[in-house]
Amino acid sequence: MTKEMLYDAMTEVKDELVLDAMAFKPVKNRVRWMKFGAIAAAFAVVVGLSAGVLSGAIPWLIGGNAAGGGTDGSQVFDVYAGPVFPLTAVEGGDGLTAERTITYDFVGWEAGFPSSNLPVTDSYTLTNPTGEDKTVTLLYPFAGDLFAIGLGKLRPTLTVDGRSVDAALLTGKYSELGDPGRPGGLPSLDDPERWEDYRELLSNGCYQASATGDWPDLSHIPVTVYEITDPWVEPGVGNKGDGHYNPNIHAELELDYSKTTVLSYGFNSYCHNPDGGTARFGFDAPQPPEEGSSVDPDFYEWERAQRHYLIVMGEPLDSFRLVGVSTGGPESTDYLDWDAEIGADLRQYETDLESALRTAAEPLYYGRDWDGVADNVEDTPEFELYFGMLKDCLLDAGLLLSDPAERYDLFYHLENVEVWAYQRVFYLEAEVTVPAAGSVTVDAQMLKKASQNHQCHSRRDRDLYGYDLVTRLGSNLDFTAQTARAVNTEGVEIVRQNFGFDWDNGVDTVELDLDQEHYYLELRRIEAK
Amino acid sequence: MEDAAIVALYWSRDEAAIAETDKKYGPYCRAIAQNILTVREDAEECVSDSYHHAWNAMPPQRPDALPPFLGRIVRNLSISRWRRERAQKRYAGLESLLSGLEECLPDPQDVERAVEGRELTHRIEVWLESLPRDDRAVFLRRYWYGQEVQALAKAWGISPNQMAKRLQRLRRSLKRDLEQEGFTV
Repeated sequence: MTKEMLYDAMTEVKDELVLDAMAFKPVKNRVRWMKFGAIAAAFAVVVGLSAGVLSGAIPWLIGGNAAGGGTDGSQVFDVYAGPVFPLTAVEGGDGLTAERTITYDFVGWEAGFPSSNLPVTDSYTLTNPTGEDKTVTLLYPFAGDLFAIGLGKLRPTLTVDGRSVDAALLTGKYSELGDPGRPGGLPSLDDPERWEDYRELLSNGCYQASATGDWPDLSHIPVTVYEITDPWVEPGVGNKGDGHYNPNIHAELELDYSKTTVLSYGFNSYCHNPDGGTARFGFDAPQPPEEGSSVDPDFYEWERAQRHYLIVMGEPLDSFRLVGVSTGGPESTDYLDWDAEIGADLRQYETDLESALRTAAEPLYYGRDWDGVADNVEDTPEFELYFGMLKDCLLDAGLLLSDPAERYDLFYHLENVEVWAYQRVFYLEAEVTVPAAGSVTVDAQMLKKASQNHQCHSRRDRDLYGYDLVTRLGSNLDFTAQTARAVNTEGVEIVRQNFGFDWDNGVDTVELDLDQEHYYLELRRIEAK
Repeated sequence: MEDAAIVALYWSRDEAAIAETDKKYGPYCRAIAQNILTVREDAEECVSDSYHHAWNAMPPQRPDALPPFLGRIVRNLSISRWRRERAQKRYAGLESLLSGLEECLPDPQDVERAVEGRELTHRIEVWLESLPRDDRAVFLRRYWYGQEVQALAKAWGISPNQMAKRLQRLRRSLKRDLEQEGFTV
């Protein structure tokens, strides 16, 4: 057998499976995008997706695009990376003046290697005209997702007069912006699509203000935890040879949905019946590899070592039991003999929501990779950031609200409350002293991700790289001037812009108008002749 | 236009069938071709070719559902193109798919068993049906429709890293299933 044979065999799988895969609507966290507005448009896109695709009305699987559709003439990209934001101060900034110079470096483009991650230096000269030293707490905002920046990529570095500073990584708290648990149906678009979405988020200052506060503390909320460990199954038990063999361990619950909330971790199937007051969570029982199998025995041991949690808030469950079934369907009733053919250890204990969530968040953060990265759980600031974002996400979507109408589809599985992928605004926080009648230079250096299209309707918009900035959004600094520079531009063609660059005629440095909120630069590489 | 009406156009040898197919399923076919071949021009050619194949296939065939029927043609033409041109061209999408599927292949064992394509397809169907619907959708969207991991992660609201791990778990599950059923190289 070859991989090509497998591809060919896959091609021929029956119609109903192929159609069902696209008809299936994944459940995902809906929290973040709602903050950025465009709710109706976003919702319409997702709701209409499957029908639109099959009717041919929507370019399918690949994002569409409305070239040049921005309100100021800029492109609306399939993937919008967000602007470069200006530095701001949370304390001590009064009386300081600031000059800003942002430099885009296109090194490598001429040689044919355009990178969507462009070296950008966003430089500020802070001047203190007073007769006293001023110590100021600065915040440098940037757009990104935790997956990229949490791993050290695309995270700016700050220097003051050329020296690195140890900057804390912060982000805003959506759960403190009010209106948690908004009704709104299906999960939908998650990322801001244009710079105005960021304007909506940042313009009233609440999001930024929340970034410097503590994360919510949930230690006052009692919970009951059901911890399932050491699952096992006798090889071949229940296998009727009809191909539907996939032994699972299920937790069967009876509960009052109006009084009890259940969070799960480590389950890959579930079904629930709010009217009947039942729920069921399942996971695959690890099966030892057969003799001669190429399955890594370590994988089996890893599977067995996984922990599975149900965290119960509110009223206690009416009943709880573990069962074994021979197939993976969450409603399977082909029971196996518990403790004889299949089994697991169960520990039930009382704790608080903060502790219980932390226990589940560690493997969520470090990954459930069976190659062993989960061994190293440390109390790093990044983990604390992740954990705070997880709590924020849960609270924002209504975890603590009494009305369970919306929360169940979202929160059966903690794995679905994903905080890694969503684009949001982070901040680097650093303290700087500006001497009396003196200045300091603060540089933010970063690889700025480009806004890009996966597929365009117009040839002109193919292979575009978009970079933009905002001049004053979210900043309380008293700017006296802002300048933009572009260097190493030999291999770069400007397609659209409002900066005023004309590097064919030597204009690679331009003064920005502080009354202009948004500047955009859309480029492509000049093809070699 | 309803699928049955489009199929009827093919059966009556009305060339409007191709225009109607393109109108309704052009984006669908292009998306699959683009996902698999990644080279825009080749994907476009593949879609055009797929309409001619559909023209030749109907009649005698009368598919109940056009999307999987057309998608299969696109997949078949894509891999044919890859086989023909892989020395000159690199189709990143398909190579990524094949690389993933390679991980599902059972290792050589002492017991040899001839693999019939239809039998293998049936086994894959049985395995797919044993999965929770959510996992089944993930696997088919990746390995049938060719959607990128990043796109799947976004649709499911999880990180690409987590989606990659989920796919890895499913590939291992399929491999184990094929081995248990005695499929071998």
